[in-house]
Amino acid sequence: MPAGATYEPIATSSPSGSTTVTFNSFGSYTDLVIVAVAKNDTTAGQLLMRFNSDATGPYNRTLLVGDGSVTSASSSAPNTIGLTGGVSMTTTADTFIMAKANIFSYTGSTKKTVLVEHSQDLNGSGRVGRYVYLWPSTSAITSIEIYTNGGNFSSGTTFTLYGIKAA
Amino acid sequence: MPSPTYVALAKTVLTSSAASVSFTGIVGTYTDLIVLISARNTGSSTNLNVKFNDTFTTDSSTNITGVGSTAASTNTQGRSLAGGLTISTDTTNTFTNAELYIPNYAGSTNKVVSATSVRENNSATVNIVNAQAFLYQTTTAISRIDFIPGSGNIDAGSRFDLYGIKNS
Repeated sequence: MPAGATYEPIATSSPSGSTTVTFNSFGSYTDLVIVAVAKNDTTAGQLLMRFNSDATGPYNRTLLVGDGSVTSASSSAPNTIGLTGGVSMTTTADTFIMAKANIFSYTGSTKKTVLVEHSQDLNGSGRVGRYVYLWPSTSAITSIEIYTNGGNFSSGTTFTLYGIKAA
Repeated sequence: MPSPTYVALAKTVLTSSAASVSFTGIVGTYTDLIVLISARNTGSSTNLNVKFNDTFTTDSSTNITGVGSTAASTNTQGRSLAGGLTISTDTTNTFTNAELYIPNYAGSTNKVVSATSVRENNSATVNIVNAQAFLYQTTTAISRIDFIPGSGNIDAGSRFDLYGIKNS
């Protein structure tokens, strides 16, 4: 008997001209993955995420990042998850940043860990980062809000939510 | 029955060394591509160059590299798992492991690629972790990917797997 599907698309949003996307009604999975390909239109802003409308957090963070010349590592406790590690996305035409967030055991009764893989290169500059966030809530994640704090998402921006089922 | 999301498209497992590994005729019906790599060089170049659509371009990559206790970040021309390819003088039977995630590879915008690679040699000075962002400035769909070492050949035992991810 073939095994059930493991890695399934749940929803995709292409929020051109808006500032916020919200995913909810995830179904029943073990982990979630968000793949973001994004940019701002004319005003640069960061790519941010929060769970269950929690705008306070803290979303404790450890990050490792390189900008093409300087490497840094740090820990902090921001009130949101920075998918771009605290810097703005690009507004360069036809050029997007990528962020992939793995959200582990999102329905579990323990604190939630998120691993972010962030890549952006603008041909002569860029930023690469690996960030881990801890949301210290023991509640299941029932909504995910992805938003920007500057301008609007540009045409071509997409956010896809996938669910992963354990055996 | 719903269509599968994460689909194995092609694989190359080398039983003898080769100058390069290529995936050609990549269909544009997926959303993203993933390439998983386990590779070693018969020669001395630690660079595994990544070529899209049979064209080397001068687009840059932004890199962060950890070697032992040292971390550095660079912005370089071209796309390569720079310094991350296991070479002939590294520990026997060890291979670089790498993943390339290529979102929206068939879209009409410039392409960004996320690459992560590790080269482990049971050594305090030749253990490398790379995280990289590649830019490929083309609005054309990626239909071909080539992997070419800076010099030497890709060794027998190396393996390259191409997967397609569908978002619906």
